[in-house]
Amino acid sequence: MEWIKHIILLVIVFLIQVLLIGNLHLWGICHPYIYILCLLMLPITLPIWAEMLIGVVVGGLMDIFSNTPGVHFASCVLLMYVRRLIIPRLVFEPERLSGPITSESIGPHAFFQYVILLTLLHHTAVLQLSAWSFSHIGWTLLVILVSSMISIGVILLFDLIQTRR
Amino acid sequence: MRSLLQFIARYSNFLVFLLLEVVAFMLIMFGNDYPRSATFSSANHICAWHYRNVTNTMEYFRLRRINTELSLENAELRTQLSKLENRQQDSLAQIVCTAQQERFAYMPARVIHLTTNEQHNYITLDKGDLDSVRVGMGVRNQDGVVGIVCAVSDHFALVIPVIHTKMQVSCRIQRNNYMGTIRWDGYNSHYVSLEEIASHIHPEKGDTIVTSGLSNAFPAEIPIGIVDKTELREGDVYHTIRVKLIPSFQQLDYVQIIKNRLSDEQKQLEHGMD
Repeated sequence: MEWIKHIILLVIVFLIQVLLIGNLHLWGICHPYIYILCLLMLPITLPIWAEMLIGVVVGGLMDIFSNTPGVHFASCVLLMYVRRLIIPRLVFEPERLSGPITSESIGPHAFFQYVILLTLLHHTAVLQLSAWSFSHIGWTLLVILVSSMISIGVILLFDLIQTRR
Repeated sequence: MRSLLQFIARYSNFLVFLLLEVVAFMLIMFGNDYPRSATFSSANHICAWHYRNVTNTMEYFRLRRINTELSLENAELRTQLSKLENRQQDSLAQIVCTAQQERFAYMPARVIHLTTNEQHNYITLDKGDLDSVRVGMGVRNQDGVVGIVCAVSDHFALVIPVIHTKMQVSCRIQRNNYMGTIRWDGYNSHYVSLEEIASHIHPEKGDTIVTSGLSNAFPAEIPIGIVDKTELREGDVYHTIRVKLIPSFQQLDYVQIIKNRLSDEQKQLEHGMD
């Protein structure tokens, strides 16, 4: 049941990303990628390789929709791998976590750090890979910062709504 | 052997991670240059179907602007028509080569999806292989050059627009016919740079840049942009020229795919010479 809920969430978030946010053109500076929301919330009960494969599927689909072969693929795999390295450092007993990762299950402080770190990592990977050069590094950094801030805001807001309910 | 197996078992997750990243990097390195396969792009059936539905819904909010644009274009065409009629009456005796006159045919198409804020932007159109769209055809709208078709599926086509970092368009300055190349630096979707204009030429702000007619994709004299800023530093061989694009890519709706009827003949002749 938990899994079906998660898959439905994934599809909805993905559609919002592709159909709504993909059509926003905010002066070329703002590219929030909120679809990572469902990757971040994924329970850690699966083996790491299976999580990375989920990253491949989600990133690959995103690549097809945005005509960026490999970019989201690479970033999502990185996200899923680093996620499992970070969680034991943030949470006291990670083995006992069974449900989705939310501010309720791992505590608001740890969740805050978790979201900020991984969103910055993912956005840096995506935007730097699609820029594919360091010649406009200042601009790229600005885009990464602005986009990450908006994504982090949306993800935390979503978490707030969900835990309040 | 046993220690090798132990090593693999111990670092299996990391090895899977490395393997997947290598695959991803191969895709990034080789996938961007050749988006020929329409399956893995937004021209594929499911993606394009989605985007078309969104466009259909959004269209209602844009009807007023589309109407204005159409009526303006109508007026423009009417003026051209009357000019042509006059000319025909003047020179009835003149013999015209019909093959050259009908060399380019235009097919209307609609933009169903586009990006303008990536480095590699693409446009998806609602016409495809079954409407005889082929890879390499040019695309324009009423304002000017849009791009070149790079992949086709049965019902949809993927276009590389002028604002794609790997796109180049051969062009000339309309005022004095000097040739150059238009290229985009991946920065601002309103401006492109005009390159290969030598230092002895004097481009001015406000000069119109049009297609040269040298490529197979576009007929000559289609507008591309207007010179916005020119700069010639001490010791430079070429001018640094910024050109403001005439078509507004963020508001692209209806475009025309340009079919060059003599393209094959020209290619055959040119390849025969080698």
